[in-house]
Amino acid sequence: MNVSNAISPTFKSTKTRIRNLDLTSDERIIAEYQQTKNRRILAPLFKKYNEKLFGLAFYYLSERESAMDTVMEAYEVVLLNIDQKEITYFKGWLFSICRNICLKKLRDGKKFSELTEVADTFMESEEEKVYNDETIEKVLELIPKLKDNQRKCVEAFYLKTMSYEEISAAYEMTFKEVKSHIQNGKRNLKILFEKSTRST
Amino acid sequence: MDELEKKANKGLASFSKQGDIGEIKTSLDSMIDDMLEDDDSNSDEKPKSTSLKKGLYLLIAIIMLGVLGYMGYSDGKAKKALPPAALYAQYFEVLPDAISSNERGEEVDSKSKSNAELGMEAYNNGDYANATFLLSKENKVDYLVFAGIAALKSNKVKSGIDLFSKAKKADGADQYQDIVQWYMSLSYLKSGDVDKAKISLKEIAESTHYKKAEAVAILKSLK
Repeated sequence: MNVSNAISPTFKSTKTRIRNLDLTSDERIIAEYQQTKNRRILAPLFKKYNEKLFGLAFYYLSERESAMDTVMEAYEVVLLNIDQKEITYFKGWLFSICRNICLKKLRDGKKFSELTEVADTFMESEEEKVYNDETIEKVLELIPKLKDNQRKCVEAFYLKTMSYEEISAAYEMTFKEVKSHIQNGKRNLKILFEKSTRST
Repeated sequence: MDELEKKANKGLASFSKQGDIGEIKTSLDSMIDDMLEDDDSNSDEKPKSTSLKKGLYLLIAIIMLGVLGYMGYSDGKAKKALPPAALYAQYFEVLPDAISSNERGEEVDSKSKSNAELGMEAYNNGDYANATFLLSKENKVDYLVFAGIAALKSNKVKSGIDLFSKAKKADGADQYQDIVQWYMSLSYLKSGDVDKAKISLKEIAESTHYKKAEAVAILKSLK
């Protein structure tokens, strides 16, 4: 029997256990946690991914605070499920949780739903107009292709849910300019959506 | 590299044009510690315990000052700049409940309690996630303030900021104006948004706000 295995985990301090872990192996940390139920063991694992996870949430939500909240929500989901689930690829699981939370937030957001109307033309039945994740992903991919001012205003209005006044103050544009960039942006997005749908 | 990692990199590149990812990482690290520590202790932190904690921190601070003074380090050297997340942790305190009825002895069936009452009960029991959920449904300024504080305690910065913004516009907002501004400043510190935190703290520091001294100290630490 391995000597280190013979020592009961209860007699080892958390710090020693964290030091002894091979931090490159996420799944080993999880296994250690599942054995000891000491949540502090997970800290290095969570911290290892928080930057990338923030990047992923920011890609979808374009807002600092929402992205931070989403990262923390993703970790809460991990904590709720980590005992019941056999995790073979932690990073992939974590990133998927984060993406699903982002997509749910976008689906639930009234303003973003308005934006996904750009896909209306291509959906014949009312049932089809319940926008799926694919539509959301596609719209998000197309937003960066808009002209700079249109992109800024569309992101601010539909993703950051800022008001016309707030956008006007943030980007030093007149109320009229903001309105026009949003309208033109939405129209151009529809054209881009049409083109990308035809090409696929 | 898989699809989601590519998106994460795109998101980081886009964020780097408007903010410092280092500050975000520090804030998230601190929130993770907070989350895992709360769970690890497996105890409900209650607002009542703040005075005990404060006493302990004060005692530690006094000892530290004494040691530093003895060693001759208190020579007026400029303070080292602290990261916003550390300043948040240093200055954030749960606001004690001053709105719930203190009458005891009357057992009220939880089914007959309103969302606000249940929310404040959760707040006082340290169940901040539930408190945020229940209190954020209210439109009264006082409940919105407590909902915002509970949101910060459960590491929901965006929700906290939204709730404080809503509180600012609610009826009777004047009554809580100073408290809202203080917690809004702390929210920006928690999110690592130094620019917004500075603007808000500067307003406090230049007024007769009840947290004027704290705002001045934080601004000095932020440089």
